[in-house]
Amino acid sequence: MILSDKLRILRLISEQPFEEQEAEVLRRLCQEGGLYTERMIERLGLSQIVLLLSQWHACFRKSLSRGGITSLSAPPRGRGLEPRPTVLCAFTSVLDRVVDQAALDQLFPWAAGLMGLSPDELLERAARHAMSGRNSQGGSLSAVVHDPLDVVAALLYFFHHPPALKPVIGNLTLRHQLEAFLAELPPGQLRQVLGGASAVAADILAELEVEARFYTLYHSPAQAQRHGPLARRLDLEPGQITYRPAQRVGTYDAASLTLAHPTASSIAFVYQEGFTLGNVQAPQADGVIFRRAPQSKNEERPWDRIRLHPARGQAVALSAPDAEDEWLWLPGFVRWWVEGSTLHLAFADEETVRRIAADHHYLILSGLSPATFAPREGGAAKELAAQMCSLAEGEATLHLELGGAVPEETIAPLAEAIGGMVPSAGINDNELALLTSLSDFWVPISLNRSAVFQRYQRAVALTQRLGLQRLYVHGNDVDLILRQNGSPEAMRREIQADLFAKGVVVLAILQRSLEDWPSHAIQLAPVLLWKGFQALIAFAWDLVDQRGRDETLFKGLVESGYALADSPEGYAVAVVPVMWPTLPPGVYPGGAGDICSSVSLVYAGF
Amino acid sequence: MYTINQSEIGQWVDLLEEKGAARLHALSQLGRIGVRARGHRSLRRGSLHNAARSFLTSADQAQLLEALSDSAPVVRREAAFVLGELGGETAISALGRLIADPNADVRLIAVDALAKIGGPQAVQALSQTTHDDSELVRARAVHALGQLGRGEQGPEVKPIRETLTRIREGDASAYVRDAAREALVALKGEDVGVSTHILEPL
Repeated sequence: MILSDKLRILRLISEQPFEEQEAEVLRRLCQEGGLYTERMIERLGLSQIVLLLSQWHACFRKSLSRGGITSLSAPPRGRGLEPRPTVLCAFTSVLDRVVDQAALDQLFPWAAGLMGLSPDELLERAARHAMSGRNSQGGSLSAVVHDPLDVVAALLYFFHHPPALKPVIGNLTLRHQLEAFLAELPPGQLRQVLGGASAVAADILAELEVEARFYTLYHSPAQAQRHGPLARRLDLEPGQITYRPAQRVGTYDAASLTLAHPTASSIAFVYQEGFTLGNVQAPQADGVIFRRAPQSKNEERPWDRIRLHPARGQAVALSAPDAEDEWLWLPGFVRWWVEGSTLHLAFADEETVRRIAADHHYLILSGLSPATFAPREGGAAKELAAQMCSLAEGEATLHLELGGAVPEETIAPLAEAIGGMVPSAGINDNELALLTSLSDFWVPISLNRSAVFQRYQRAVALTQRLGLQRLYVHGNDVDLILRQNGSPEAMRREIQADLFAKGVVVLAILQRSLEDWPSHAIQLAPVLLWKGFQALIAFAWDLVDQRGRDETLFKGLVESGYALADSPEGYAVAVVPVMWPTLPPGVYPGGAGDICSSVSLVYAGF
Repeated sequence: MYTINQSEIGQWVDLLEEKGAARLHALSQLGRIGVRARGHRSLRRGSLHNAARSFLTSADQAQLLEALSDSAPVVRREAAFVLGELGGETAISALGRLIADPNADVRLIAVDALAKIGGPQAVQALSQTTHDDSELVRARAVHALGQLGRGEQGPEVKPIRETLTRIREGDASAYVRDAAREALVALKGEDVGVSTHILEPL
């Protein structure tokens, strides 16, 4: 679908009659708004709700209008690159196999059968594991699952400990068991979609007429065929960088044969609020993604040893995965080849990394977390950190999409690797809470303030700890955007970019899940969510109180969505109510937040 | 289903004689009754008018109208909101005067209130706001004109169409021009949504 058609659909969505939506938000805030909303009504009247809804509706409309998009699309200046924005998204691309509630119902008997337990026994044991957060080998359920009991326990655990993280499937037996489970599902209960924020964001940006590229270590036929025609893939070859169409399959040579890349994949168990597993009910919609190492299609790999080549120094041997078809995945710009019975992985040298940076206005790196930078075999984390330094030296805007952490980790490896080097980052609100609760990261939180204000305090702390100039925190109620000393114009543009990004990502999510997606898009349900406005109001009062200011600041913030910093070194903050429609059944929203973060960066003028 | 209570209304109307925060509070409570009376049906028009107007004496209504002249803009706009819930011919003429208020927030709420009430007088008043300094006020007025005239064929629609066409062609704001374009589509009755009728004031 060409850009103009997509923009037309966006406009149609934004043009839906808004009276019903506004009336519903007014009613809910009036009746269930809580103490903060009551305080607003007491000081500024009920009509203040109408005023702020009018402002936000106008902002929403303008952000999705042709004029609004044109104003966002100003090309970045110069540097000898082509006039349109040139963006590289790295390092994540994956084939998501999505299982929804209908298939999840079958998980319980499946696990009980394989474990030789009655359903009651399975539930009792899984509940015990979920309570402790520990897997069957005593490790963290958030990090790894070892058997079907762990799979059920992980789901139960994440029901009550959102956000659902991405545990690794810990052994070959479990992987085969899960594959057999997927294979036996009736047609229609398993969907395969392109996942990984880097791959999806590149596709979306390319459709918006951005010169969008992505980089990922492996690019299998299953991944390539799910790409649109416009994005390109960065390919590292000896001494050169090439950009090939994303739809072209990645291949390598081994024993005089040309073979396709392995597939990086995951299994996503997606559930809605109220879904029950055994007798346990999910209090909110979410999805647990079980990660798997990249795998060869033919269940074999043509090598049995790995050598890692650092940018400088001697190559080192790494231990190969036990499974015959598993490949190693490393974050970073890594060239690989197979020679004899050895897989060689070579980190790109400084010169190559600098050239990659020089080719782009924006570098958006996903799939990074404290664990990525923790010391690991072969010094791979050190190599990645060195690449980050080389990327940061250039003029491109470097943005990291941060993942969460498990309680055993510390923030130190991440802070040491990127501290002061990376200007911009994005993170999910729940992952922000995890990251800022690590043992070596104490954040002063005002427990008497609203949840959204506490989130803001965590965001400020993370921004300061990592030396960021910009942080985008995506949530289900509001998005928070911090900009160091951001001007009114900068903050208005951030808000507009965020609303626009949400719109295009909704379309992309529909597009990857439904064949007749345009008709669904046009009929999308209301997008003004009362919870978002409730959070905005709560945040505004807490900021007023913290700064000892009056209603003028409150009114300005709830209507404009931003407040400037109160000191030269401080952060301006935008609080954007999430305008997200109720998606049709069967639509998989995995990764939407990370993708919005990438898209909004490019349009935020940062 | 929420039932409007005469004594509850009376309690808040009595407080309208007060000034400042107490008056604002009384108005907000009256407005809240209107919103609550809508129930789960997210109707654009309030449900307060039928029951509440019969509970209000002319003195009560005079109190409400007097609040429109309060020196505090926040009180004026809150009063406009309540009058939008109550409706009635008297409210229309009072709200019609409010669209010249120096405060843009007050004008916007007045426009919204007129849109809720509807009727030829409201349309006439709304047409005057299409020159407002605030693009938000103009856009709300333009949208309201489209909604109130939706699907109508009579001669009353002609001036609306002319007003909207002029705005679509000449307004300085793209946002307002877009609103006018959509309103013209709504006038043709192409968008089947909320059912409102131009000639039927609350």
